[in-house]
Amino acid sequence: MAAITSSVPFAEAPARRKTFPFLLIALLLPMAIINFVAFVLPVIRLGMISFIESRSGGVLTNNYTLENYADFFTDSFSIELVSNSLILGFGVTLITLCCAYPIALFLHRVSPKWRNMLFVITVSPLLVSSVVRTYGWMVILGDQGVFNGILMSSGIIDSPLRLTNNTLGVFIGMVEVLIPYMALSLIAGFGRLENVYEEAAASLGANSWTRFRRVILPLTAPGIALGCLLCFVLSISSFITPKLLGGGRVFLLATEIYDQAVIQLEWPTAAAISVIVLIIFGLALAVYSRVVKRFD
Amino acid sequence: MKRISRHVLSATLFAATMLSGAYANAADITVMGYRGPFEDNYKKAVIEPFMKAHPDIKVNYYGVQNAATSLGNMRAQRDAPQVNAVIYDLSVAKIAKEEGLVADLDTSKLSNYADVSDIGKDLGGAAIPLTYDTLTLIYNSKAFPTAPTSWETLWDKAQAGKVVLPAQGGGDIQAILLTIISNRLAGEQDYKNTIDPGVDKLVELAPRVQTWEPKPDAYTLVANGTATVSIGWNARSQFYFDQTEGRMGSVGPTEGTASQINVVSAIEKASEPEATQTFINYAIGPEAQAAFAKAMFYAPVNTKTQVDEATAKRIPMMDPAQREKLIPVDWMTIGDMRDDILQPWRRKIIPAGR
Repeated sequence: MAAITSSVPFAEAPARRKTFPFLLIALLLPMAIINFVAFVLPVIRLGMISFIESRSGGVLTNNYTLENYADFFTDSFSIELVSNSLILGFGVTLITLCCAYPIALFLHRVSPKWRNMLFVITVSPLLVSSVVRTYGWMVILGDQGVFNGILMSSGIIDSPLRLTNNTLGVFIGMVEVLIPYMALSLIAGFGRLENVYEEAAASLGANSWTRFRRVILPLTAPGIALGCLLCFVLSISSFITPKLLGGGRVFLLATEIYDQAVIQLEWPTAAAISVIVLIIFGLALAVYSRVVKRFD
Repeated sequence: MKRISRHVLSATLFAATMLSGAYANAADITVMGYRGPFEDNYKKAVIEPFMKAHPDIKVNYYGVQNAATSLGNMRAQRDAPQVNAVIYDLSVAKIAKEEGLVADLDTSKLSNYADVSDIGKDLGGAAIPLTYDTLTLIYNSKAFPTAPTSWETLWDKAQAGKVVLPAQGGGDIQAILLTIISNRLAGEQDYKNTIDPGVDKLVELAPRVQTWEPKPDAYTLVANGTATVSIGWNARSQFYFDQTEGRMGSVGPTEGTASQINVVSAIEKASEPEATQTFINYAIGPEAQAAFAKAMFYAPVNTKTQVDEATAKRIPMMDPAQREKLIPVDWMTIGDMRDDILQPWRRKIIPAGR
């Protein structure tokens, strides 16, 4: 065997390198085909539907038009949908970051003995479906729920607080659903943070706030950027939690797509809004890559 | 021994030939319709007796969330339908007909069609009336020891925060009918003139509404006391009345109510058109209509249907006094007015309750 190996001329190595791309392509091909069939083709079809003209009542015609987009951009209600979605996206991302950052930092610093167990506890909500967790919040926050029950029975309030069936309920539910995602992203991006940098800063006289601002925050910025991107995209596209906790009062792009397709039967309008949401996602990704490049 | 073997072989061949012949003649059709209690009861009351009467036709039921989902499936399967017939709402059937998704059956070949009431026959053989239902006021029996009698109960200040109105995504046909009813309560009799008075009246109600998207549904929230009053369909209300042992009640208010029409259509380009037609004819016949009315309290469309007194009492469409007060709704023009009626829900009514 050794003889065979040694007898292979060194000049054959470039030939082996030539076959490498074929292997790479062969390995990538199944995923590329699945991606093309399950993602690219439906998105192309979605784009085509967004240009179909529909008559009153949602009847589809064979004509193509730009009206679906024109109607969207000239309607103040649509602008409200975009602003509601962006406010929810940015708001939920910010609150989630504030809640998850201390948890992630603690997990990064805790001794390895405890880290694994605490890490599992942090991400354990992901083991339960977000639908089930949202129903849980409906039970906790409802007029006859646990929270109002405690406040009323202790005499703090006379009538129940409206904590659900409104925007507040959606924010509470969304933040809880997204905290594990944010924590995971933050921990993944904390690789560059080491205690020696903080110790060095402290030895040079930096107080804890300055150490956080000048050392910890810049070193954890890639994790923050990743977590924010993930939470923003998930918030903008979230559908179940706003539907269950919004009480029909919270109109967002994602809920509007469902309503237009399933309730109003206006498929072209639903498709046009979907394309607009995809563009928003694209913009978010572009901002993320620019931010990450800056940190690198 | 040889003779016995030959006999056995012949008998086996004969049986196999007969069975294969029977299999070749058997038809397998699929009916798409509402899932949940509708599906369960429709299978028991209509499909199973039909298959007993027609052993050569096997009927499968494919349950979907609502009529819009049915329309979506029909659009997706336009060139290769996987269902043969669909049970859905008349207003959605109009869209399906205009898009060429349903077959226009020759009604002269349906022996029971002549006995079907005229209400909802607008689309001819493309959408044949199957059931009638009415919008009702539903209430929590503990909160209302005496049943309310008027739609105005929804506006009762004592019920503030305890009213739920199903208007998912800015409303569907329940919201349309409530707009028409509110319009009449506000003094405008014809919704085709204007719906503004009705919209103003609903704006007044909005701050007292607990939720516009009751989960899992209005019937459950009213039955368990989370809400005290809402609107719903009579058939489901009666069904839930039994299920909840009377914790939720249902009433056809004195001002009158409006009807909703479910229809059945044969799918264009689907296989087994004759078996499908046989099933549709059976579904609109008096036997199937009576059985489903007893099971689910939908008003029968066949005028020759015999329904027992106890069941008839719980179906407003079968009460001559209620039927006389039925608010006329032209579902053929509602399709064109749909946007005009539902836009105010998203822009004025629901925002007024934030």
